[in-house]
Amino acid sequence: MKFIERFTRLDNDTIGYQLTVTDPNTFAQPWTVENNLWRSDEGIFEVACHEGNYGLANILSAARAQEKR
Amino acid sequence: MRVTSLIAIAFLCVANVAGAQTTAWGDPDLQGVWSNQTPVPLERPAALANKPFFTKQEAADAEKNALATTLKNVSAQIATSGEFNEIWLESGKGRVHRSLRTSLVIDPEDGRIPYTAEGRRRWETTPNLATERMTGTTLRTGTWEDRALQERCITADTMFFPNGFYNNYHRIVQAPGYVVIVSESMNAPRVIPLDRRPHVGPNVRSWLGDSRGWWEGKTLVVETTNFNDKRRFQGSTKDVRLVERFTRDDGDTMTYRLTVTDPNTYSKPWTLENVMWRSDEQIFESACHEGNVGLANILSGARAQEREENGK
Repeated sequence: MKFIERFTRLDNDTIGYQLTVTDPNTFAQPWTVENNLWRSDEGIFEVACHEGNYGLANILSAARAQEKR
Repeated sequence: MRVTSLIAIAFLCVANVAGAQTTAWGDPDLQGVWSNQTPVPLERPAALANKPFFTKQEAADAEKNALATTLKNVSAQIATSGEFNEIWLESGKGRVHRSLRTSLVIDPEDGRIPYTAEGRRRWETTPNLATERMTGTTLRTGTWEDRALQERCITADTMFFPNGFYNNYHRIVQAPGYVVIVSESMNAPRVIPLDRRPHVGPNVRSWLGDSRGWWEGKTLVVETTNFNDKRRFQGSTKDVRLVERFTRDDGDTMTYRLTVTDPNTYSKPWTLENVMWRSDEQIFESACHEGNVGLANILSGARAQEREENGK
């Protein structure tokens, strides 16, 4: 798989974003998505993904409980 | 005017050619991949209580023997099965700072962290691989939340001082007004503004804290506050203030200094000093949770042991 991303400044507050995905093993032809990035005046969060990540453990333990039934 | 500009341009070109130590916009250039791997321990060992400095020969020996020393220490503490070797561990690459100190802590003079009684107690009860070694008691195994932050892939302190094992590489990237430091361990990035903007408000807290930087001559100074109250750097609380100083010594080394202030934990501020040496390699993508079966096995092993003890 190969990704090509294109970032183009459209105006002061907008970046045009394009992603082209190429993988002949998976897709009949390359395909492209387009989206805009819009400017924020805020900071970004620190995503502490594994802090309090009970969901993952609970999914597995619930599946074990279901198997026992 | 035109002559002045030409001189300025000529100056920038010369500065860049002469070891590339200034960026195109005139800041000191610290960019590249650096390691702070060292065989020097954080605190001065009791055996070296009256010896603050290595001789040059002793420092060279410490570097040469770093891997063997680490392997010996590890196998004295836990059962190993050959997985600790020169391929997995990077201990053998470590360097001793040119000051030849026998501990990273340079202030206080005794090379020991000046804990208050409360601070030491807090650190000893913090789940951390260092406190496990320090107290000789193994971490609890009731839930993954009893385990060390490093095992949980949440955060590590490798920029502040290296772990002795691996992943102690840091990539520094600069742009006008910003420095970015990406630590290999946990893929932890810090984006540091240099425009003297104030820290975020006291109610905003995070694992990596809030960093602000500025230049003092050739030295990059970074002040970090706003840590959360779950992450204990050497036992500290959320009020800890870290001030780092990065100074380029020559083309291939920097001096790194860290001053730690937290009256809740230490009787006075303390400072460590370490070398950062340039690497020509890239940093890894440290996928900490990929194949992290150790953590699950520690917990399931503890449950199996409980069942055995309960005679089931």
